Amino acid sequence: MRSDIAGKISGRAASSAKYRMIMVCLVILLIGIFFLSLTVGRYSIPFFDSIAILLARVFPIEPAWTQTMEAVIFNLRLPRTIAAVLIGGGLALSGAAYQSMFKNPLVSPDLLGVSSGACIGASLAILYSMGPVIIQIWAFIGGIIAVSITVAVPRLMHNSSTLMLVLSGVIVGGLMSSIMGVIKYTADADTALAEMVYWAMGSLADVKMIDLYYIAPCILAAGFVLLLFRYRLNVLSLGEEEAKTLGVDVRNVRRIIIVCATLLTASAVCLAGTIGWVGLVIPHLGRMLVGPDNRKLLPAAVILGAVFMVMIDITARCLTSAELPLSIITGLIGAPFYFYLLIRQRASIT
Amino acid sequence: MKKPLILLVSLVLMLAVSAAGCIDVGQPASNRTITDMTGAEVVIPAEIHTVVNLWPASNSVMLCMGAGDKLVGTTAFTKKLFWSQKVYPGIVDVPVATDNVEELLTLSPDLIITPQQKTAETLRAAGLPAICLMFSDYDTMKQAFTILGQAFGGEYIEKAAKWSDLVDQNTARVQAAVGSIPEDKKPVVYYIQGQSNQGLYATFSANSIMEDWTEVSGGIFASTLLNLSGTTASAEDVLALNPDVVIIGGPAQHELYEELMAAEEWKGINAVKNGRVYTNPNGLFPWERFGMESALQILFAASVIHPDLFQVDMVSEVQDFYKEFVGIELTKEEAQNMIKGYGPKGEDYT
Repeated sequence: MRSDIAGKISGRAASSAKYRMIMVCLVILLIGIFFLSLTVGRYSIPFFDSIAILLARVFPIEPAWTQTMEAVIFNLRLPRTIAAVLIGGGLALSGAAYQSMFKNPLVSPDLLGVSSGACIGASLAILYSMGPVIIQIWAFIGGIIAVSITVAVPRLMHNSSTLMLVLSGVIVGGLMSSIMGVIKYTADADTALAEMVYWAMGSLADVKMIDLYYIAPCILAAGFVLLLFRYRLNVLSLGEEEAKTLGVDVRNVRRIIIVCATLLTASAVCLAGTIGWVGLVIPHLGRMLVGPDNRKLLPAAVILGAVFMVMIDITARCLTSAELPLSIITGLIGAPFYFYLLIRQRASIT
Repeated sequence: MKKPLILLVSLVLMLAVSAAGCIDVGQPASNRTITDMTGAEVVIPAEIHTVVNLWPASNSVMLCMGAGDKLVGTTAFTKKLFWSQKVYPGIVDVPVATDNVEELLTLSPDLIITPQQKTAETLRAAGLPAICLMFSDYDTMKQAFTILGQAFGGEYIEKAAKWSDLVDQNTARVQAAVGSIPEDKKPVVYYIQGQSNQGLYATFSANSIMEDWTEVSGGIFASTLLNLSGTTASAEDVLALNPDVVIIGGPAQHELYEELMAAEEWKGINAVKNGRVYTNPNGLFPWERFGMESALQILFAASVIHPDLFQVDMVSEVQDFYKEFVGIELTKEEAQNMIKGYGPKGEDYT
């Protein structure tokens, strides 16, 4: 597959001025939804009070609200919203990068098995009754290990084509699922198993500020590097031979992209459990808006992913009194939405 | 070519037939039938000497009745409780049992107890004497303990009857003190489930034994107000209720207590402001769940929910209970440790 197919699927590329306008609108949308997330929730805080609480951090205002309200906004809603922004942006970014690198718009960040590996790490931690912090650490390590195995297989086969990588991802993913089955079987059905299943479905309910202090730098650094590689991703999508003649070190660039995307996804999963569809659908939406040029697509995907994830989180915690797991909502919204996008595009897909 | 083939086929058939013979399980010396909690009629031996118990709560009941020496298969949770080790030191040598049919056939116990109907049916189909003893509130517990008493026979029948009477007596005692409180004066009680540290919003559903003892003790159960059918509550919903009393149960209670008192968003809540956050006694089983000590839970709950209306010497109640049912003498210190949620020598679970 070549980039012209990607171009056909997503329509014309956006011109510079149009792109700038789109980005400005998206950023404003993100800021708006960020503040909406802080003011909305099942603990009802009057709108003007919530604005005042936020402003009070900067300006000296006499507190006319309860301490609980302030704590709800800063200790419950703020960490979740920041996490949603980081996770949504990170997953969308790695999804877009993988889709470009593998020249396949059906690829998601879980391609190389990072989510399955992280699931295993977390489930093992739950099986051994570890606390929330250890669960996160093991999830992260599990994801990294899974991808390391996936990446090692092509090297053993002396075939480092993308097809080999994808096949390796499928194999490792299958292996991880089987191991997951063994872990679930050994788990005590009343406590550990339920915890594992709930963890795997994704939730931002337990995110605290301190988690963000550790994970945000990882996400920001990996995302930043990935964004720096936008142009090289474009060149990569021309094909290996062409890329080499244009001076791009294909193997190293691929390695760096895999490392960054894995770090992004592993961080997202260890914070919030597995969340599907974001990395698959958002890049597609981005391509519809700004075209397949990665220099424009990747930043757009980040903001779109962030906006999407914050909306999902608001839905998850406000809809019913029991929190809905994130991956259920992303699935229920993402799959039909993807269908809708494909219908809109059906004229352009050959 | 035909002759070797015929030979091979007949060899395979002979093996198959003889292997089928191996599955023939010698029927237990079937002398009586009992009806389990699902209404199934199960044939069991006249005398029960060996029991495999697959449910932690039921294991604690057996230990509490003084029937621990019958156990040949138990659960990991039961083994790790300090009180299990005190009441029946031999518990550390009892292997952890699974519902693996072949393993159970090898063990060949006189009785298998499981909380799941499906497991019981599968095991019965393999010729094993399995009963389903699911219980979830005081009434079903009385039924289940009666069945267990009947199965063991002798003094156990009386113990089960005495337990049922104790529950009724304690309920009457408590209701006499708090039964006439008007609905709007009843405090809101929020319960945190701490079998493992799953955060401050792991609770129990509305129709549960926790609701039972809360309401008997003159309180309003938070999950009832929230119409909660699952076991995780939304943080903001709980805070919006502004609970007057918080009760934290399970082995992880002390960790969760520290977490709650340190959380910013709880500082303004009634329970924290008025110092009404309590840890629940934890003996052979967390009192607030489905062990036999739940008879004492009624007294404990009333004494913390309405300390001004109902006072009780919890230490002597515990000592009497253990003398009567378990058959061991507890010192004052040991009883106090249990009430505070520690092991007999003050050991902490976390």
